[in-house]
Parts: sequence; C-alpha cells; structure tokens
Amino acid sequence: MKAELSKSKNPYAETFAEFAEARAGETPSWLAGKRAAGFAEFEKLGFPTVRDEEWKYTNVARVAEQVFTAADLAGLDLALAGKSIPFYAESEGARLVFLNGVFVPELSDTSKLNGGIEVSRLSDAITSNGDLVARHLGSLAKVEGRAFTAFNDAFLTDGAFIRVKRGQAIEQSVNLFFVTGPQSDHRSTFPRTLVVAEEASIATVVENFIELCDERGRFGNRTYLTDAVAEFIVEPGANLSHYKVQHEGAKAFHIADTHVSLNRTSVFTSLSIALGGQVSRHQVSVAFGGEGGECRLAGLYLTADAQVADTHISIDHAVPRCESEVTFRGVLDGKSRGVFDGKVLVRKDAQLTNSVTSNKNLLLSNDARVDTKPQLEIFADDVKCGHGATVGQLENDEIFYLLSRGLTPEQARTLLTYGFAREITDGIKVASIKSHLDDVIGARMAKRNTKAQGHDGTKG
Amino acid sequence: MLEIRNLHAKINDAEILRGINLTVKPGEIHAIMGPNGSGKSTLSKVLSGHPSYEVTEGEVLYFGKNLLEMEPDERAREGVFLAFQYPIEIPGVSNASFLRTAYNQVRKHNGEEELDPLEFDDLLQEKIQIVEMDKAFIDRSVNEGFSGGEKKRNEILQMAILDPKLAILDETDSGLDIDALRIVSNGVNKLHSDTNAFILVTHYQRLLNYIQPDYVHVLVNGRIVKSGTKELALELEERGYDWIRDEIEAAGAAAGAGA
Ligand SMILES: Nc1ncnc2c1ncn2[C@@H]1O[C@H](COP(=O)(O)OP(=O)(O)O)[C@@H](O)[C@H]1O
Ligand SMILES: [Mg+2]
Repeated sequence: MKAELSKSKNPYAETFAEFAEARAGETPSWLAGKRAAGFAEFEKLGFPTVRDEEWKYTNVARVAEQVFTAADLAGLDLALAGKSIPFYAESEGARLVFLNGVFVPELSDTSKLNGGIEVSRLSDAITSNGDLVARHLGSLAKVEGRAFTAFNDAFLTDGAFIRVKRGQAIEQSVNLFFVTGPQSDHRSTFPRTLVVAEEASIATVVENFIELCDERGRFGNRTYLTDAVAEFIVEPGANLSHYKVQHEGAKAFHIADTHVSLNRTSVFTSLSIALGGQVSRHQVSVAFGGEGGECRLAGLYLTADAQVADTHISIDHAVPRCESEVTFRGVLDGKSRGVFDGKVLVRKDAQLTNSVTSNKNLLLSNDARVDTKPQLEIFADDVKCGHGATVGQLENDEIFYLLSRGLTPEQARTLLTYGFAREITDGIKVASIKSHLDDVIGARMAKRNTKAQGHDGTKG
Repeated sequence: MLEIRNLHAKINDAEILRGINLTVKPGEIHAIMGPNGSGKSTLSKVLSGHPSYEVTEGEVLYFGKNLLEMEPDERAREGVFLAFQYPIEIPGVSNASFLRTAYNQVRKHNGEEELDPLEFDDLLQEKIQIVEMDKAFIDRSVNEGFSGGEKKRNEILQMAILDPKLAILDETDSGLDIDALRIVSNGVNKLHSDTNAFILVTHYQRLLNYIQPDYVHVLVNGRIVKSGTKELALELEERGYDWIRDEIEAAGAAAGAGA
C-alpha cells in the first residue's frame, strides 16, 4: 500500500509543470527556483496525515482527496464584490484586495497612507524592491517539513508587501483582504504576506480571510482551499500589531502559516480570530533574535457544527530578556473540535525570559471537544515561565444568577459566552473587527437558541 | 401573595426543609432568623427555583399560582427577587448590560416597551443613588472584584431596578459595616410599599433596628418553630437560640409522653 502510494504521481504535478512553463523566462529568476523548490518539497511530503504528530487532531484527508484548481476572477462582478466585503468601507484608503487569489486594483486603495509606509502587491514589490523581497521572502517561512508552506511557495504568484519605513509611526491600519468569491468551488488560493517593519517603526496590519456573501448577506457553500503564508520581520525597536480575521465559508479549508522574527527591543502583538471553515489551522512561529523583544499572541476560535479549528504556536526564546505571552480562548458548540498546541522553547542562553501561555475553552455542547497542549521546554535556569489550560462548560450557578433576575436561559448563555470571549475581544483596538465579532457571537447564539435546547452543556 | 404549605425540600439526598408553613401578604415585612445551617438559604433558593434543590412535599402558592411549577426566570419576571447571601462574580459580563437585559425582560413580560441603552441609563443613574454606589461600578463586570459590601449593595441596586413584588433578602446585612447597613436598609425602606412584600433572612437583630418587620419567624432544623413580632427578635438577640431548642425538645417530649 505504502509503496503504491509513493509511486503514484502527485496530483498537482501536471498543473505545476504548466504553471511553471507559463512563467518561464519571467524575472527575477530566483522566483522560479523558489517555486520549483517548493513544489519538490511538497511532492516529497504530500499532505500531512493524522499519523503525523503535528497533525494528530486535524484531519486534512478531505483536502488530500480532491484536486483544487487555481481560482480566478472569471464571471465576477467586481463592484458588487467590493460592496459585500466586511470592513470594506472602514478600510478606505488603506487596503489591498485579492479576490479569488487575484489582485484587484479597482477595489484596492492606498491613498490615505502617507510616505512612511509602502504597501503594494508583492509582484510589484519584486520589481521595485527586488533586493529587499529577495532577502526576506521565505527567510522565515521555510518549506522543509511543511507541506502547506511548500504548496504555497510552489504556486506563489502574488500577495501583499508592506514596508514600514524606519522611525515612521503609521496610525491608519493597513487592511489586506483575501477574499474568496463565487466560482471558487474546488479552487485554491495561495495568499502571501510579507511585512518588514524597519527600525523603530510602528504599524498595524490586518489580514482578512473571508468568503464573499451574496447580495443577501448569505455565505456561500463552496469547498475551497486557502493556503496562506505570512512573514513579519520586526526590526530593532519596531512595534507591529497584527490582526488575522479568518471568516471563511462553512465548507472551506483554511491553513495559514505565520512567521515572526523579533529583533532587539521590538514588539509584536497579534490577535487571531477563527470563525469559519470546516477545517482551519493557524500556525504561528515566533523567533526572538535580539534581547528585550516582546511578543503577545492572543486569539479566539469560535466553532459550531462539525468545524475543526486548530491553533499551533511555537515560540523560540533564543536570546535573553525577552517576553512572550500567549492567550487563546475557544468557544465550541455542536460537534466541533478545537485544537491548541502551544510550544515555548527557552534555550540555554535565554536567561531572564518571561513567558506565560494560557488556553481556556468553553464548551457549549456536550458533543464539542478540545485537545489542548501547552508545552514548555526550558534549558535556561533563571526564567519565569508558566502555562495553563482549561476546558469547561458554563457554570450552573452563573446561569442561575442570571435566571433569577429574569433573563431567559438563552439570554443567560449568550451573555456568559460574550463574557467569556471578552478577555480577547476587549483587546481588539480596531472597532470594526470588534463589532463584527460581537455580531458573529450574537448571531451564533441566536441561531443555536432557535434549535432544540436538549443537550446543552452545563455543569454545577 | 405567598403561601407556603408544609414545604419539604432536599439537596443531595439530605432533607433540609422539613415542613415550612408561611403566609405573606402584600405590604408585609417578614424577618426569618435562625442558627447557621437551619435552612434559611435553602428556603430562599427553593423559592427562587434553584435547580439543585428538590421539593419532596408541600406546595407554594404565589398570587394563587403554583410557584414551584414556574421556571426560575419566569418567577423573576413575575416579581420574585432573591438577594443572594453570596452573590457570585461573573467576569466579562458588565453590570449595565446585564441589568438592562434583565429589566427589559421584565418590561416585556409586563407588556411594556423595552428601554434603549440611553433611556435605561437614566433609570440606572436614578436608582444608583439609592444605594450610594459609585457610577464606575455600572461598567464593571458583575460583582467582579467587588468587596463584600459592594456586592450586597449591587444586589439592592438590582432589586431597585427590577422592582419586585416579593423580595427575599438572604443575609444581606451580614458582613456590612454600619454605613453599608444603613444604605441597604434605606433601599429596602424606600422600595417598600403596600403592594410588595419582603422576607428578610437575617442573623442579627441589628438590621431590624433599621427596618421594622411585621413578623419575626425562627427557623430551626428546617421548620419554623416560633413566630412573633419584633420583640421576638430582641429576645433572640439576648438569649440566643438555645432556649427555643429547649422549648421544642420539651414540647416534643411532652407530645411523646402524651402519645
Ligand atoms: N450541596 C449540599 N449538599 C448537602 N447538604 C447541604 C448542601 N448545601 C447545604 N447543605 C446543608 O443544608 C443545611 C442548610 O443550609 P443553609 O440553607 O445554607 O442554612 P442557613 O442559610 O440557614 O445557614 C446545612 O446543614 C448545610 O450543611
Ligand atoms: Mg444562609
């Protein structure tokens, strides 16, 4: 069986050959090499299976068993698409829009951003900022052993490039929209983000991964794959804030690989929200390269039905005097599943490291489940590190308190769920994201409240 | 408005209430006193519908309706209010949004228009003065990080907002300093009218210096063993509960001898 499998050709081999041929002779030449290396690694690895320790709880067999083709803009009404993008109006003057993987200049607009920051599509940056892109693209997101990252490299065509110039503080947040619209069934996109925050600069970058609603605000039911890679290079003294809003369609597969390198006294703050997708995974890898760095990763996954939301964090404290804080919350309903894996490595030289990881989960149904595993590996002796994880249901006494004031059981549960999520939502400084999230929680609770109440999870 | 007849209730197979009888009419204030563990909180929670308690015998009529058949939230909307002995903390849920949801739920139930956040805020500003609470408490999470006295005052604020017909205060006076005690009692006296009634569960006579009860009942071992007026409370303060226990035992022995 195994021998047979390894003999069989990668189902993307032909597509890749055509893809590469169509771009033969394009400059720069390193890009072709990068794609080829990516595909070679992807071919070698194949998609991960649950036998792979890192993918034990997140089954992507359904990704492996079909062949996704490249999405495009055929048949899309761009103006209409623009109107249906959440946060679109709020992001005026500071956004790049990719629809079905293709950059859409008509919907993109960076007019409100000043000269302190460069925001462009990656394919343009390769020409205008060639050396910089060549130096950084893939410098953090290595393909070795990572099938989805290799897959992204192989089909890398475009993406977002952001360079925050030295000493510049950019007030306006930069919004990247990776939107999947109609005609995307069994299609794939490979979003790519490269952010370089130069010395002592300050900026906020928002990555949105969304499926387009129709005119009536309904999400589609398309099975597509988003295979995203993002790299954040935070140079000395820079302060970069990052939001990732994953609101893919209910049947989508979303795999995102985020890499961060933190230099001396730099700060990276990230908030990751997972709402959509039948299977979604966000991997964040952080490496401290200079003393005094700070990294705060927070996130909220909100799942229902048979969704799977996976968060994999890995933080490498290689140098002394850095701080990391990981705070993830999950609210799980239906038969959904959450996976949290948080690894913190404190190397021998990383004295005076401060690190704390916390993952708390609220199960709204008896059928929901979470596998949580915060891990600490410490080789230095003078450090302050901690981690904790909980999985629980709503407290009966809390519910009773609210009922005794006249709230219905549905209202009580909704209010308590909001309350649970607030540890994360309170940290959201972008108003539109916060209200979007409030709306989503409200809508989810309203939807579940119209269903039978029979098997709600509560405990005393 | 409230008629409790031969109420028996248990928790985890332990029988706690063993035949309570009590009638409360509109406009009345009843004080229930009794030693620790006698079942005062149990009675309060059974009346408000806590799911951990099981009623095994007896009935409770509330305005002629079977109270025990009503869901806890239904009871609240019908005007039953319990000020908890140990109000719990609810992180992440703001006092304001919680109170407004509760208040509007009651309004809706009474066929009245719901208030929007601004209108509700006016009401809140008015009621918060009754309990002399800092306005900052309104936006904080329910009871989170509140001191004991602040929690109790928050219970009275909730009561003032919801304007119940039957309010049960479970040892709201315990752990209060004189100032807080005065504020809490003031709240009760302001809200008291001839259409509502109060059951004050208390340990100490001192609350009754501030609030005049019409009746005082003594609860021992799951039964009301003695009822009287304010003077009974004074006597309890002076003599403790032992003499009552002795009285009951003597009565029991006499009944036993007679049988
Ligand atoms: N969960 C429980 N399981 C068993 N017994 C309980 C439980 N909760 C309370 N009790 C018992 O019920 C009795 C009455 O308690 P309570 O109503 O709180 O008394 P009071 O309020 O008068 O001090 C006590 O003996 C107490 O130990
Ligand atoms: Mg008690």
